[in-house]
Amino acid sequence: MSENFEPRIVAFLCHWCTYTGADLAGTTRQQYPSGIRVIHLMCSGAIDVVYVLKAILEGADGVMIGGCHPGDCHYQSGNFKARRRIALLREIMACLGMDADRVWLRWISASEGRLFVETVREFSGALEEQGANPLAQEWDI
Amino acid sequence: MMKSTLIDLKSDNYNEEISGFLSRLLASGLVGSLLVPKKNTGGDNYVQALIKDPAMLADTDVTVPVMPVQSARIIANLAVREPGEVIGVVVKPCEVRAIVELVKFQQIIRSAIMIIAVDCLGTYEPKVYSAMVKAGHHPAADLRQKAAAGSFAPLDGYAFRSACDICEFPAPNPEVVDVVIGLWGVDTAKQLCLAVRDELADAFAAKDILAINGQEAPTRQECIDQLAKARTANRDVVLGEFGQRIGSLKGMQELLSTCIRCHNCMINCPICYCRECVFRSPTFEHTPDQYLSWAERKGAMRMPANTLMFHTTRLNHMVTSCIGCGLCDTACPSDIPVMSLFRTVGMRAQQAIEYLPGRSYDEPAPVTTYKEDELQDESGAR
Ligand code: SF4
Ligand code: SF4
Ligand code: SF4
Repeated sequence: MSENFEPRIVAFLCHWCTYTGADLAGTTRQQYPSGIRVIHLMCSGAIDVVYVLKAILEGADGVMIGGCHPGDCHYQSGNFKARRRIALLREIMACLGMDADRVWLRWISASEGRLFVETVREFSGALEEQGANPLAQEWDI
Repeated sequence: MMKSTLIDLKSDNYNEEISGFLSRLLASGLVGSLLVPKKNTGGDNYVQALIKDPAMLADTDVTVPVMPVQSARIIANLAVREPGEVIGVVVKPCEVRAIVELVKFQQIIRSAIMIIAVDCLGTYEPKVYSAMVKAGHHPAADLRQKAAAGSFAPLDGYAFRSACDICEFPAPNPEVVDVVIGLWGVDTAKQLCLAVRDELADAFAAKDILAINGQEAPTRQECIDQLAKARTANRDVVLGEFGQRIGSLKGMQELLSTCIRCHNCMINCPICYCRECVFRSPTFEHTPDQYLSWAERKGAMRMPANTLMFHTTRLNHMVTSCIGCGLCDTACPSDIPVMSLFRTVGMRAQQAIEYLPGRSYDEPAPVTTYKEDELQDESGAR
């Protein structure tokens, strides 16, 4: 892997928790890897896996889904439903020989700006070890 | 619970006796119409007919080994809203299981239908069935005769649909239906074997629709258990091998090599019920410069785009409810083994989430529910 490989991460973050947590990290000027692109959702439960797959198949190195901690969902159970959907997605990816570790689901609350930064660093580090997503160069998909 | 009955045929014509029963059922008003496989005008195929006039029960055959469409799909059109009468539907076990899933997805109102489920002798592809008839064979009679001895084997020189060779449910689950028509272990040249849900059994007796004598076909359950066991073993071999084949990007590329993106597999699948499908919307119709920039980056790009995404998304959206009917295989003009793909992935996904589609009305469909204490590791909990 080239020295300056910086993983590209697409992050789907819920409005009430992780997005606000990411915002807090920004306003308190904490540094985190710049390869992340954030997509704002009202709830992690609003995620349709078609968009996660689209990102992975188009060559994103990783996709992160951020929601509220269990019990804290603004809409009661959106995060639990997201968890099932992501678990299923990862199971299916594994069946098809796709790298399921390119998809991370994490619970980060509005006040956990530091946890957000640490999580993105950790994910980015793990992806650096895995290397670039080979699908980025696949034409026949 | 069910009450069973084993009745001697009055004539030597099994189909006539069954249509007699269906005709009395229609006349009783317990159902206002019936959906039954009926020989079509061409004479080389049976199609589901929605019957109001008892005279039209002529040329129906509940045992016919062909399934040109998944009846659950038709029933979703008939009973997604209150139809104003009960529709009796004559269906095969995989159709019953699809109905159960669609009831849970609120696509079928359970009380609007009376499910009359028939033991399944296996089915041929419609074009194979048609060829058999044109060659002078009687596919249903052949299989009924074999079924009496518990044997599941196609006519020499022909093959069942691949879904049927690995179907673990040769008989319907009595807990989710109203009437069962038994064929395994039943000598249909001489006898009629039915089971009826308790409350209905009383109504059937009161209205002279069917005599219920409490007798069962002595070897039926044993035949079913043996078949289920053999086919489950076969399933594990077939899908195990298939799992190896699809377990890599290259494998998937080879599998989808001839896909023409016609969406037939989706249109024919009973479980793919969304009326507004993302793939039939402009969501993934990109702008020209977007396609060009992908081609630029990769040097080339398969068009139309998103073939792998189409299939992986469908797997994600509905594979936990795939009941393995194989209608996707029937539909595919390119002979892609779509059913094997869905069943292989489906089994792993269903096992992971401890769900068996079509088993009961009470278990919610996995994508609509959750358990608070499950899947803790998914969120990176350490
Ligand atoms: S999949 Fe099973 S129930 Fe469906 S047609 Fe084949 S054998 Fe019959
Ligand atoms: S994916 Fe194929 S086998 Fe599964 S339910 Fe749909 S049509 Fe039947
Ligand atoms: S039916 Fe066959 S060719 Fe058509 S989209 Fe499905 S897999 Fe592709």
